[in-house]
Amino acid sequence: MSAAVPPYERLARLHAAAEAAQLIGLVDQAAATAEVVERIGARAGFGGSVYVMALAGGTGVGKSSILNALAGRPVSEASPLRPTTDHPVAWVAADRQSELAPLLEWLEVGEVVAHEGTELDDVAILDLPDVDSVRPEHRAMVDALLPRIDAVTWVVDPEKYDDARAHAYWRTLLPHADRLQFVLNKADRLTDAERATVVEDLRRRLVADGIKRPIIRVTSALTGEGIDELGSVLARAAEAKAIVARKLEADRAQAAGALATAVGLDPAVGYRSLLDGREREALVGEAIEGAVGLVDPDGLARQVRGAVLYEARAGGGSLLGRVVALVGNLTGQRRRRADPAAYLRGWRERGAMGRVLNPVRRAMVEAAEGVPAPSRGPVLEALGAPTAEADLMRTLDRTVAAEASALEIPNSPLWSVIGVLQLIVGAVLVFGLAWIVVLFVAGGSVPVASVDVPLLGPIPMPLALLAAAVLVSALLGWILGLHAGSVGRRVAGRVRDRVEAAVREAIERDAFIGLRRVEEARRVIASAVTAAGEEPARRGSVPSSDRSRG
Amino acid sequence: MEQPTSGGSWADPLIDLANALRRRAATAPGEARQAEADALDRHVEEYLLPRAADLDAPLLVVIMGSTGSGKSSLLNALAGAPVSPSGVLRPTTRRPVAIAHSDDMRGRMAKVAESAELRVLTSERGPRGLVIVDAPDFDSIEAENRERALALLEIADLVIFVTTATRYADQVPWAVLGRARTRGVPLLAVVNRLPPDEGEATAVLDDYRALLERGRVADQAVTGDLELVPVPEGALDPERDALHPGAIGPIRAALERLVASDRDRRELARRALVGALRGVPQAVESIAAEIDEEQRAVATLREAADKAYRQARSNVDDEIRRGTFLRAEVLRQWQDFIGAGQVARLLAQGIGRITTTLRSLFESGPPAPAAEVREGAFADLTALVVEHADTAAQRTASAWSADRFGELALAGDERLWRSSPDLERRMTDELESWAAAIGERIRELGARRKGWAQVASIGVNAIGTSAVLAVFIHTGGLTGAEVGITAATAVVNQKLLEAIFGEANVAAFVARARQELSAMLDAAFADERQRYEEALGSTGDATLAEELRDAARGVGAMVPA
Repeated sequence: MSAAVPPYERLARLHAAAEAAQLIGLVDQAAATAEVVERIGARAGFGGSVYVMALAGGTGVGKSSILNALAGRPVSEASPLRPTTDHPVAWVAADRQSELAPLLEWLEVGEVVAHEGTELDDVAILDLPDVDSVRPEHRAMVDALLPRIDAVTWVVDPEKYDDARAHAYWRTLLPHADRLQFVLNKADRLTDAERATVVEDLRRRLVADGIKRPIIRVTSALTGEGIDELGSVLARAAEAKAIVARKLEADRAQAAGALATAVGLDPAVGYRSLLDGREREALVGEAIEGAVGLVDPDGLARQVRGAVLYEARAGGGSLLGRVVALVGNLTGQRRRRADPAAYLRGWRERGAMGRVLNPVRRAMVEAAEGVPAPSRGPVLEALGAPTAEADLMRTLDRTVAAEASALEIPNSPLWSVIGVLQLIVGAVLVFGLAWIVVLFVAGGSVPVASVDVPLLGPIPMPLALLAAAVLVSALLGWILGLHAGSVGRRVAGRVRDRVEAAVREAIERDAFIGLRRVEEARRVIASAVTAAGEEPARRGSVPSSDRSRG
Repeated sequence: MEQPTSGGSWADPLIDLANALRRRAATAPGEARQAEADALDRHVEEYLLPRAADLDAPLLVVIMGSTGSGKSSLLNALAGAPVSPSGVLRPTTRRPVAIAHSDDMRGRMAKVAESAELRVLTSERGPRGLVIVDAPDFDSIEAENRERALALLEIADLVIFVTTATRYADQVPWAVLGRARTRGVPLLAVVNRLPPDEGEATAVLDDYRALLERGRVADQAVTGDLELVPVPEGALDPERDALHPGAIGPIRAALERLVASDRDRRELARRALVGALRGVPQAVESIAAEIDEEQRAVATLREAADKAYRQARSNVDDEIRRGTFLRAEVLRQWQDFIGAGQVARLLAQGIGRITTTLRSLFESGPPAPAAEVREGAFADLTALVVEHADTAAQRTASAWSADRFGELALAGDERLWRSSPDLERRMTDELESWAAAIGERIRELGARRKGWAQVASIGVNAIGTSAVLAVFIHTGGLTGAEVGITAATAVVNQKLLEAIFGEANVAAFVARARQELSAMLDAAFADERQRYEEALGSTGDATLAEELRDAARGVGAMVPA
């Protein structure tokens, strides 16, 4: 896999990963990664024909003495007084000096000593200040410089080969173990047997620190023992370009690995979602059920049926029916029972937001538990936890508002026809009533009373008219009710299904926007890790995630 | 030092201090702060108290130094025999070795030997009045060795500080010397492995002396100026695995003087004690200042948690008061039940005819959806509680994560970003037993009143559910125009209860149930809040800092000005 991805592409992916981390609130990690990207870019820009090797170690182990012995003349001041070297000194081949100047300037190495030799012209050797003296500024100098160095020779002596501080440094150098060697100086203080014992002991400790196959050389700057060998090894090892390339790749892989760990990814495994798919589905389902419960499509359907009925009565009701509808309107009965749009908009009054919110937040927290503790706060924020309630409310409000404005209570021509018929029937009814009043109530005081009342069979005409009108009106009302009921049921069913589907879709779409964003960022970060290939993971030099949950 | 005369009471400040320090060590946040208090506690209990009690007890001489500086070789030289293994492998000394005269290993020294796990080599010929210990490396990679060495520093009467020409400017030893200075312990300094070149050796010694003076350690000499004992590279006595006896002459001389003269020994013990007592207030103050800092931080954290949970609790109350947390589906179910069958008849007709109506309707009507409605209502309330508990947890955690101590507390328990996992279960259980208690009271109330037959016919369960709903939804806060299904249900529900039990009874009944519910919610939220208190641990109560300072003032007053 690693062979397929060219270095610039890998660096670009790391850059993208830093931006992704920034996007999900991991500001510090993003800044650290961006710094590495910049450092890699800068070092690569200086070219790789010469690599920089630093002599590092505690006070008094003989870093400067070794350099002086290598050079065969005093390059860096060596002294019995501690600490001696208070700024880095570079020893470079004279014919490379001008070529190296920008690189050394980038390293902020002011003091440069040139040599005429040709053997060691592919390596610039830096003598560093100590890492353990009372002068904290020395340590700070080393800490700032070490990450920019291509290869390190760590110098120890028989007295100082097990200091806790040195171990701490070695562990940070683990990703660079392939360009790290150890020199046991002051060998003149040990007998041959002791040397073997000490080298063995040091090797054991280095292995325990995680350096699988440590290279340990034995020198004595005092007697010159081992110095020539060291020199020729440095000359031989000088495939400068490869060393620089390996160094930059190690930096890149380490930065990508650190970022991956920060977002709960095991660099050795690659991308894995924070929330297992089945669990996510279950929680989404729960949230949807909750939202549907709040919006209450069944209640809505009732309202729609009521509204249809009102509509039908308004268009095709009998006189009495119209009066009832009017009264319903005036008393607010209609608003309560037959106003589906208002019912929809009032969804917040119908249950606790927790029904929707709780599963969504649980999903967020469980996802956040997949990242290490320091990242948890920012990741939760990126997941949208602090605004989850408002976000969900807005989503539901918007969905419901759209559905409410799309609501249409249908009308039917049948209702108008029935309405006209009811009017006629009403007129007949009134006419019949009036007739009866005139005939029987008003007595004989009205002149028309003298006219004979026609009979329909045995029943007087006015009564027949009245009875027929009432019957027909009831029949019409019954037909209207039947029809409106059926229309209402059909419409209500459709509305219920549509609203429910809309709510489902809205929750599905919006509830986990944050999760998708975080997962997208993690995918970008994971792709920066996998660009490194499996090599670092197999070496075990990338810290593995301590994620405990599966 | 003035030996106090009023019997026994002179030790009180030290005992108070030790008690306060022990409490601190048990409750400090983070291992470093615990270790700091523990070390000072040891200093008080294992050095100050026994030494103040008896100036004539044997002196504890501790040889301290970095890994590979030659401590064991020095001890061997002082013992005149290879008692402590030295060697090229680091770190060589694990269990600290001590040499002593057999008469001296009693009382305090026996305790010291036990607590410091010393391997004590006693002999009749050993130096009387001195117990010399070869401490482990204080910069060892093994944490246990470091701790042992630093613990020995706290209880020493005299420290022989060994360094080398390579190491004398290392940072770790200087940190140790810093503590030796605040502790005020007398010092002897040895510089081992000096370069053979005379000039270089002198240069190193001068440089070291200058460093010691700058570090203000120089005035802690055993006698007069701080003596630097130079030991050249290779000055070894291979037979005894020791430094060459000649090279350490001044140390031997100093120690022999102490062995020979009871007066000198007593004088050194006194000086060491006075120095130590003087150093106590400063050491205590640094701990007390840390406690103050923690208290300030913890007060803010507590406030954040309190605020979040108070808010949550009152939000829950609001929603219960509004009654809007119940789903329409649940209410509809109940309303349908009340609006139909015998219940409707019960409400529609006069009280006098109830009995007959009920009898006639005994077999008909839909079964009460009591269990479903109650469970539905409880599920809604539980969802409401979990919602607000989650909100409070999130607000607390995010406030805490911005603080150092808060972050420490959060890291210990990842569940602090949400409500307790068992909150839902807990609420469900408690609500069920609450409902059961309500059911029980209904039975009692029904038995006392004539209405029992009605209760029996509608069912205790249904009436119980009705009572539960009456707590959740009531007509009080709702205005006529806004009445929706919640209010409509509330009204009929109330009517039903009042028809059976009478208005006054219902009011009292509901008020009591509401109180119980409120207490239940209080307890639940208090427990949710309590999780943060537990995560804080006891970072020391508010009085601890003052207690420490008081005790330190008392200790300071023991020293003559």
